Amino acid sequence: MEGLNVNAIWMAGLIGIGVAYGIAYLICGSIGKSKGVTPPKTKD
Amino acid sequence: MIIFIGGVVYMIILIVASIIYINRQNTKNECAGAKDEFCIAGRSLGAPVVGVTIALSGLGAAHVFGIMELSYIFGAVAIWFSLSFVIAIILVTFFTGPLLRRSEFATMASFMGAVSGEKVRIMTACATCGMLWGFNTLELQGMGILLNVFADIPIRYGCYLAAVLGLAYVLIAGMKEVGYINLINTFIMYLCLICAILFVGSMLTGGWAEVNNFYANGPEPWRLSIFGSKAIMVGFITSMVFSTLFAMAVNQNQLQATTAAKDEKTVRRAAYWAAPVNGLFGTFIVAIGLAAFYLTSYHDLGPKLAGTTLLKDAMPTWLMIIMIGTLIAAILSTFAMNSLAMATIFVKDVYYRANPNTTEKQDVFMMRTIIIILAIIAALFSVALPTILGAVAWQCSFVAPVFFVFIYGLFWKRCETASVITIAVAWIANCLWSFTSLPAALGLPTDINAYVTIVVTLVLGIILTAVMPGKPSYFAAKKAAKATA
Repeated sequence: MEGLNVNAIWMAGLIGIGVAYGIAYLICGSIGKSKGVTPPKTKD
Repeated sequence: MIIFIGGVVYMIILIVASIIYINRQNTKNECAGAKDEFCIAGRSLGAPVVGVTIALSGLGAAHVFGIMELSYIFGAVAIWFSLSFVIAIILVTFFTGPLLRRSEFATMASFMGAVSGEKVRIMTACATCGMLWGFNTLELQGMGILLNVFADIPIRYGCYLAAVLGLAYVLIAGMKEVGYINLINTFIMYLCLICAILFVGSMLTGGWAEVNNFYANGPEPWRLSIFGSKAIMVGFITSMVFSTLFAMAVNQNQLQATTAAKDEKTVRRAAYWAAPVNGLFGTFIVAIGLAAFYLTSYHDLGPKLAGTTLLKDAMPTWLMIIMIGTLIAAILSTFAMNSLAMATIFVKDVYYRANPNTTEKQDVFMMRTIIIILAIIAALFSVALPTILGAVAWQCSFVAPVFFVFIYGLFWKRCETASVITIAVAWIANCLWSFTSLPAALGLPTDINAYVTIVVTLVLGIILTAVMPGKPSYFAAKKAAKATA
């Protein structure tokens, strides 16, 4: 951070947003599973 | 204060005019409430709106303040920040954008899922949203500084106020609102920039040639060259250019405009609007930064304030009001598109896993909720005041690896495990480079995160993709399917 001079709290916030999306993805996946919903698959 | 109030009034007029126009169009075409109307305008936008939206999505606080600051410090080499966006725009409008538009996906993360697998899809979503949120904090910070300079509002409250204005930019009608405001604002902003150059020129007794002579005959003539000095070019500029170029090429905030285009052809035609609108802006700002460095009374104010103060002094108040209004709108257009992109990713790639059969009304409600929540968090963090260009380089380094994995999957081989490991190791490397003493231990500079992540992605990505089993490339699979059909 010395070189980049970027605030550590801000960096933690940025990583936190990414992690929050990942957690939401897992939660929504398990909710969908419990409801018996087939998630929309990406096409192959 | 009058400049700031006038600027805000200008923006409110733009928002109201755009909403009235959209309502009339929706009534005429009976498309209100149609699926994906809010996030991608029902895929109905023409080349001018798509083009200026791509241009202004990448033109925010970093362009306005970052380039002005950088040109004061390093000279004309600062133009590379702008040029890297132009190259990214060409990649978006001629490569990733048409591909995404053809795929019918609304997000790049969904497309990555089709190319490299479900795990890569969510990794792309996480990295993109982290980066976009980071950009939003920078946009709010830039607005906070602007409001502080022109209205004496403390930066903290300026950031909060900017978040409220930014929400008004996108919350009512989504993509169409952002697009039409951008189109009107672009024309007015360029008129103001041309006037600004003329007014600053009138302050110089020998005109702009005087500035040119100062640098050309001075001790640092490299300040006038877009290639600057070798040390600056290699150490800072190329690292920043690489990180922004590859991250922007797969960045949802610019690609979202391409998904809203009528068709692929419209996306390609949008390049002729997007590239000049985005690229020329940097040229004007660099010129103002160079003039501010030359003029002693402004030089003494330092890189952050010199250019802005020069503009303030050179232009008449009425013109400055419009100029500030256009800059506020340009900065907030980036905030608005970032917010819309994050909300679209949330609904399409996360929320649909639990509720895949939603109505447009439910989608819009969820998107608006996400936009508001993320704006509040961004406003709270924006007062941390990270250095703009350092922050841009760091956050883009998380998304740049996605571009290379995308290329491997499109043209070479699709191997989900190799892609996941490559992206994860690149992220870890980016964090180790910033949070530990690894750079010092290796005797390397600390500000080259982009090189680190790109080298990891290239070396590890190529080795793993070559060694591990996988499926044929996306294009090969498409070709085979076509032949079978």
